[in-house]
Amino acid sequence: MKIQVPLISRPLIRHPWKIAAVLLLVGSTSAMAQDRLAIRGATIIPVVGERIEGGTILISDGRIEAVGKDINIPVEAKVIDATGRFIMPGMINVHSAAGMSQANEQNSNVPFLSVVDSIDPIADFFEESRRNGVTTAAVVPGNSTMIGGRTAIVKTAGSYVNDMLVKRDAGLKISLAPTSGSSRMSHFARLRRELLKAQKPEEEKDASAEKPAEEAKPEGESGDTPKPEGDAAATPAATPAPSAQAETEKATREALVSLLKGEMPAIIYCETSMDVPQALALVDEFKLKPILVLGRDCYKAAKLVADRKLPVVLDSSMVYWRTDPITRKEEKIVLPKIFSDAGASYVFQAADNGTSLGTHYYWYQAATAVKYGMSTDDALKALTLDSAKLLGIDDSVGSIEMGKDADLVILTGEPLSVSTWVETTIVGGKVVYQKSEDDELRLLFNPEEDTN
Amino acid sequence: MSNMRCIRLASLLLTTLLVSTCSLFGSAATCSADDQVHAFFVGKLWPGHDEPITDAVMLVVDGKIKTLGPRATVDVPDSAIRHELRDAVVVPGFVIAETSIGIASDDERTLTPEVRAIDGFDLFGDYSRYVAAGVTTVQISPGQQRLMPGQGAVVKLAGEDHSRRVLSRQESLRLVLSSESASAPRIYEPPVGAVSVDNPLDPTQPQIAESLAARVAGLRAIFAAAQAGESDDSGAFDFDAFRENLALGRIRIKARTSAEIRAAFALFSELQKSVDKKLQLILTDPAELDAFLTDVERLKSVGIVLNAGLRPGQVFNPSLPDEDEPAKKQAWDNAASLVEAGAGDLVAVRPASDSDLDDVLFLAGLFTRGGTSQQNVLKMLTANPAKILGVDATVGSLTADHDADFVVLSGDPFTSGTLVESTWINGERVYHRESAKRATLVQADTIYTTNGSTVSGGGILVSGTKIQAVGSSVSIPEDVSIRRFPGAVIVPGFVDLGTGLGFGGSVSRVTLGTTLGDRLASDDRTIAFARQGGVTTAVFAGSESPSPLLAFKLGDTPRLLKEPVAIRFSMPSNLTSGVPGLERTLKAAKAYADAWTKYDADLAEYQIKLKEYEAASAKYEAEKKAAADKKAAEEKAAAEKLAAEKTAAGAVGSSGSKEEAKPEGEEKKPTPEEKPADKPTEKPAEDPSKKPTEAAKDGSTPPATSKPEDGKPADAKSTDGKTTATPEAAADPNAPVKPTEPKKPPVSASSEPYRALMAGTIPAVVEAKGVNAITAAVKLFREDFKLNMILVGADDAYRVADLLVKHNVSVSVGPTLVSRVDNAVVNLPQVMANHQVPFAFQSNATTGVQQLPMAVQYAVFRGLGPADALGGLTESAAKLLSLQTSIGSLEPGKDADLVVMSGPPFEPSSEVLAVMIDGEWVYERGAKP
Repeated sequence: MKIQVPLISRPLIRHPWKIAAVLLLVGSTSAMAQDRLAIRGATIIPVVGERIEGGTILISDGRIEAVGKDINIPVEAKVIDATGRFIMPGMINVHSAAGMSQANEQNSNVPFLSVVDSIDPIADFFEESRRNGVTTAAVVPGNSTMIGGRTAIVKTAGSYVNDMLVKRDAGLKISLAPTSGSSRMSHFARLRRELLKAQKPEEEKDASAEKPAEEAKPEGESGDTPKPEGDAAATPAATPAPSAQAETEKATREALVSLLKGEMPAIIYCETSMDVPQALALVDEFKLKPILVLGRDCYKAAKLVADRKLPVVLDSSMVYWRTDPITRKEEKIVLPKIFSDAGASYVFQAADNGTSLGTHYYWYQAATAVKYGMSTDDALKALTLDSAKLLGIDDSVGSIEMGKDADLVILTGEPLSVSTWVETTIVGGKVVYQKSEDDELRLLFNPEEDTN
Repeated sequence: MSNMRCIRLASLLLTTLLVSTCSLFGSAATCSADDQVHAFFVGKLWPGHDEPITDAVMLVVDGKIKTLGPRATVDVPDSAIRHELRDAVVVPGFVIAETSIGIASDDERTLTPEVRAIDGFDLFGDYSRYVAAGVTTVQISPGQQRLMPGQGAVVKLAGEDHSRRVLSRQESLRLVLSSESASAPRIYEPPVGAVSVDNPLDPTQPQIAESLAARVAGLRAIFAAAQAGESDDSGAFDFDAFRENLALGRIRIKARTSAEIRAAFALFSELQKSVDKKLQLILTDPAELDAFLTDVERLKSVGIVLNAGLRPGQVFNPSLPDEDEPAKKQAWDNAASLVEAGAGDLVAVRPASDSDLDDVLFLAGLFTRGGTSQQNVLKMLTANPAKILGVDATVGSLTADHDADFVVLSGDPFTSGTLVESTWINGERVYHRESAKRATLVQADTIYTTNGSTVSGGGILVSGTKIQAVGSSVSIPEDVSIRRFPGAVIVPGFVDLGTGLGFGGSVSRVTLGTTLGDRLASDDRTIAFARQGGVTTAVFAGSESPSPLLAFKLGDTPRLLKEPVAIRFSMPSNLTSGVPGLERTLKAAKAYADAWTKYDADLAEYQIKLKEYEAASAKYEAEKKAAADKKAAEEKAAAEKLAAEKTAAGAVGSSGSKEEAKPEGEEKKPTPEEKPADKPTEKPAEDPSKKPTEAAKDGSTPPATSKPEDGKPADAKSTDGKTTATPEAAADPNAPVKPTEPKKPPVSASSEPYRALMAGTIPAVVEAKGVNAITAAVKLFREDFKLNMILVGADDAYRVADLLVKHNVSVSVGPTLVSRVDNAVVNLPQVMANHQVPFAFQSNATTGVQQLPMAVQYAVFRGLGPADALGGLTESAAKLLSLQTSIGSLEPGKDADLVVMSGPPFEPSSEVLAVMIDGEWVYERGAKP
């Protein structure tokens, strides 16, 4: 374990007043040089390796500098005493259509769209995420489309989208649920056609490209067409303005080509079990890098994904009653149990909407899995490191390890316990949530106060 | 038919359940996909493409047929798993060359060559209905009503391994020329105004006009454009997909009338010209084939899928035949004509609707009507469609290296009454007909039978509602379903001697005359909850005294075991004034019971006497008759003599005939009278048949003797009998005297139960709390009236244990088993056990019945022996209620009431895993209550 001993601290111990002076100095300069934070006394659940009782986490520059039992805390570090508390890595939301000012649930073939353009940093979703210890979220277009647009991974704290971004174009959302008005077969036919089109080498068709561009011009000017990409807005007007149509086509092609090259994973939503073999056939045919998001009725395909060793994202309603269409017999479907029994690995998804309160919370989802046989350690891993791996961001988040982003949650007790609260949420070394300062929570529990 | 359907449906449900359980528990009921050899010994095997083989053997390895042939020719390895099908007929799994099953929704555009049926097919769907009818492989087609709906696929309908189920993802391009495609739906364009880059306006699709000529012309135009290499980026028609389809080499055209068929041939030859590859034409549903039968060479190369054209069992109104036109041909006539013409090798059969796929055996059977042989019809259902679909290298016939897809039939195919016994796909049994309720083998590590033995590592074979066998080496029937509970312990179902269960609440004003048995409430949630603790038999106890108790099983439909199973009394709180009252009640009860006992004894005596009388009177009658006969013979002889004398005297007249007629008149006269009177006269008429008539007489008397038990009407009859007998008796002092029947005491419904009580067949359940009450109760019930007695609510029983032992009184303890008296802990069941007082438990609860075993567990923790505790919950409880012949222990012949526990009963860690009542699982931990 690396031990940090600040150079200045030792000789000054004999002169307390000097320490004060130095501290003053450090305090004023640290903002520009190094932001150091130390959390001590807590039970650390690093997710990788054993728990550390009464350990210390040293954070510098937004990253974890050291984790361990005997770590000297530099004098200039701000110290949070978390004795008796539990610290785990911030949880990761792997699939959510919330966080945008409006999710795309309607336009079926829009690979050129990016959720980055619609992420709203002050959306309730982010505040709620911080309150519940979620520090990273994959924002994804909705399930009711065909190619619904590009996804992005963001931290749940920040004033501007660009500050929050972990990964732009983190995937392309493909839904296998037929869009309204088309059959499952024609939905697939359209999807395949789009992918085949992108697979063909780009033709030299300057002459033909010119014509539709001109036709589309009035459309582009009149409508409030969203800009295909945030950065594209900066394109200087001096260059010959490409038409919206041509620009869209180009962005579409880029997105699909990067999908086919495997640079961008395909976030494939399967609505029912039958979609899963179709999705796998699609993955094989076009050599896609898949992240399967399964609807709750996909449980029959558990064996299939297990055989392929593909981690999947489970539906948010993990326990439900299903009525057999023939026998009318009611059967309790417990997704985590079925997938565990089949040997599939999976991560959880919290609900964006719906009436059931519990499924909105990741800790509830994990606790449900634990109830049906998952070990607590595995459940916590699914919430953090497994999710990070699935999204391909495990180099920076997902566990408490040296060098990773300091995305931490300080809990009042054992994680997944009913009486445990998130006390503090830290994103990038900065405290972004504190229960003691959570006015909404306070008003929720003391409604009378509101009258003043 | 409807019966058969019922059976099929039922078996289908069972299979569905089985399949779902298999998938949940990962059962190993299937042939594993290794090199294990499975040998099927078959009575008669139809390979599909060839003549049947009798007494055949088929070897299957890894879902494929290794070899097959007559038994003598096949070497069966010793290691092979043998399947006995010697009584059965095996045919290849049926292949249907066109269906649209599993495809939920369709498009509205008419020309969609890019659409693939496989994309709409649910591999996880439940097709057990079709599999149960023997259908194993089907072609699936997109769109029924569109001109060019897309590409079909060939799939198997069952099997775990998906990679083996899809035989062809892209089978053929389909065209529909029949009338269905004539009215193409209109395509609604998106409303203009909402158009933007991300929500573009789709170009209108060309929907081809209605007439056949226009449709054919439209298709021709598309063919020409495709050949010219046109492509269309607007998305109106996918030329690339169309050209890709032609490369598949199969064109499927639906054409019914001769005009449509002609157009199909024309379009096909045009397509054939446009590609280098040899195309295969598949003509589906052709009806008017007559005109084309002359061109045999062409028909030979065309796959023809004939539509059965009618729905099984449905009556419809066919149009009247037009006299000017040739008679309409049925599908089987067409099949016969094609076979006759030598073009029968590519002819297949399909039902008119997908919902008739489960009757494919019947529909195909109709094709034998046209004179086609069974062998040829079977080909149309197996080898031919496989050839048409291009999957004949793997399915459609039973030969080496083909998939082991076959159907086991109870008899020859296409004969009435033949049933599908089982269906196999890739060597895996995917359907099995359930003939009767299966036996269940419940296995656990330890079985406490409570009849003195403990079985380790054994099982209990449950057949129907009873236990058939218990032991460590139970021989099991072929089709047993096995439930394993590793590490678990099985004990008999528990008995609760006092509950408030059974009527969905309390029952008031219960008297001894009340019958409650037929009022037990079904599907009571309280009962469903209560039995989770392991109690399978409950006694309902009211609060009145005296009142009847009834014992019943806690199944979904509670089954009454005995009513009344005991009579409940409670000792009055004021013993001084109350006991005499109770004594009076018992005295009255005894008087009532004694009256009946006496009557019964008298009746028995009477019946013996009656029998004696009958024998005597029969003897007497016989003697009398013999005497009469003798007399008659003498008279006759005398008369004859007289007559002879008369004739001799020459006086011939009518007197002879008069004499002859006389006996007849004598015979007739007594008939209106009672039977005994006419019998003697009957006999002389039919002397040789003397014995049978005597038997008839015997037969006629018993009703008169057995009736008296019934009551008054019988009495009247017997007195009638008496009146007939008396005159004779009066006439003859030697005649036997009929005994008088004893008089029946009056019946009182409210006192009836006392008869059983006084006779000692049911016990008195007496509630007595304190020492005085217990002592008084023992004196009254046990000493004075000698009744079997079970003491309940006896908190002080521990103080008078010796008294109880002395008087042989049993105790039902509960709900409080362990109490604290003067700072000492009193474990009542333990005290009873120590003094060897027979005891059982009761909860006096409703939902709390569930907790009775837990309360007993506490008593065990406090020192009660586990064996005594288990006995009190099972065997002794059953004995106290005199129900030990059906419940209380695990023995063959007893009711299958089992409690499966995770460990030895009464261990703190032990939990109830499952409860079975009368052979039905009523509770399983983790399942929905």
